[in-house]
Amino acid sequence: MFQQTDETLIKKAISGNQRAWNKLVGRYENVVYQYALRMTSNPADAKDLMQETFVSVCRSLAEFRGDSGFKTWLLKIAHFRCIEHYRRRKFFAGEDELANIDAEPEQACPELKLVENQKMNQILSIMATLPFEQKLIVELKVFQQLTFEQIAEQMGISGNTVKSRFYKSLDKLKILLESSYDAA
Amino acid sequence: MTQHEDTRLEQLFERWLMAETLDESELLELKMHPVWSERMLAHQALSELSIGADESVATPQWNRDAAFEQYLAKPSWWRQQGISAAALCFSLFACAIMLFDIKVMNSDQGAQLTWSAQQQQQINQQFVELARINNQAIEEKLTSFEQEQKETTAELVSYILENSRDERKEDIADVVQMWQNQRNDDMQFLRQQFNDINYNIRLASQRSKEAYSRQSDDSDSSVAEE
Repeated sequence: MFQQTDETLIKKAISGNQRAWNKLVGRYENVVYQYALRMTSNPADAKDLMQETFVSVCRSLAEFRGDSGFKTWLLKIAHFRCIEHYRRRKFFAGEDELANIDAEPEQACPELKLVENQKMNQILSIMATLPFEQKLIVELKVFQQLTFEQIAEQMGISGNTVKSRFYKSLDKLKILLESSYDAA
Repeated sequence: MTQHEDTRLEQLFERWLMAETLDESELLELKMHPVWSERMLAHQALSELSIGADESVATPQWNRDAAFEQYLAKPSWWRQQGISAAALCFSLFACAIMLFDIKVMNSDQGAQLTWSAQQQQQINQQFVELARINNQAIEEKLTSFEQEQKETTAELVSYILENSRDERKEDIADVVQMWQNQRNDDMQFLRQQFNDINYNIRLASQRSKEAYSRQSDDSDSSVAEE
């Protein structure tokens, strides 16, 4: 079956075609929701984050030039919304302070039990143990499969810092994964 | 382990992360390394967890239309073009009114739009018509007033004449009456005087008679005596 490209749907949505907008959202809402869920470890926050992301996308859709793929652009917006979300949660702390403030791992959200999937539960539990910056790098590297350079560009930090944080995350996750496999 | 060696292993790990094909020796080297092998396992485990996890978690229902309606929905044609066209028309109309001094005039034929020249001509015509109507009305009024005045004057004259005749009659009668009364009074007075005179005369004649008689008596007695 013929599938319209993202660019076509974007053009149609900009010209006021609601069906095209719904198709575009339907194509990527799950990606954004999963991303938000992994980043927040809370289904309610993830839903809010997803909605905020699509509101931002809708507002800036006319400014999308197609230099990168729509998904990349969408996730970049989701990333900024996610940082804002964390800032709100941390009483509007500065971005530099964010890593320090978020150094303590989060408590697993009680709402996680709502997510019935065991794999996803495991992922969320593991991700919840990571500080925000490490969590973000793992998300972008493992789940979004971006290169270190792309992550560095998106986060505005050096590639070496990205790598070092990613390796630290893997070292931490290794222990958790081992223990979870042992338990299983 | 030298730093050079560590950098080489890191590069190998990066290539492995990018799913590049490594030589068996390179892969073995990574797998044999205590740190990098653990990292490989951790990444592998995480990647395995991520496979299929996305599909099984349903996206919750949310209002997709809200954002679209707020930012992307185009207003209907009449809101988009009709309002602006109407606004333009009103603006042009307002400019025309200002430039040509167009005014809405309420005449006998209903409301009329007129511009300054036409309006001036119309106003002049109205003034002439109004002046003619006014003159006619004034003339009619004057004529009727004059007629009324004449009638009133005639009535007044006849009334005065009639009234003055009666009054004169009454006055003459009063004068005659007064004269008669005066004459009666005079007659009465004269009669009274005549009576008084008569009385005085009679009294005087009586007194003279008495005196004469008394005198004659005296003379008789004196004669007698003599």
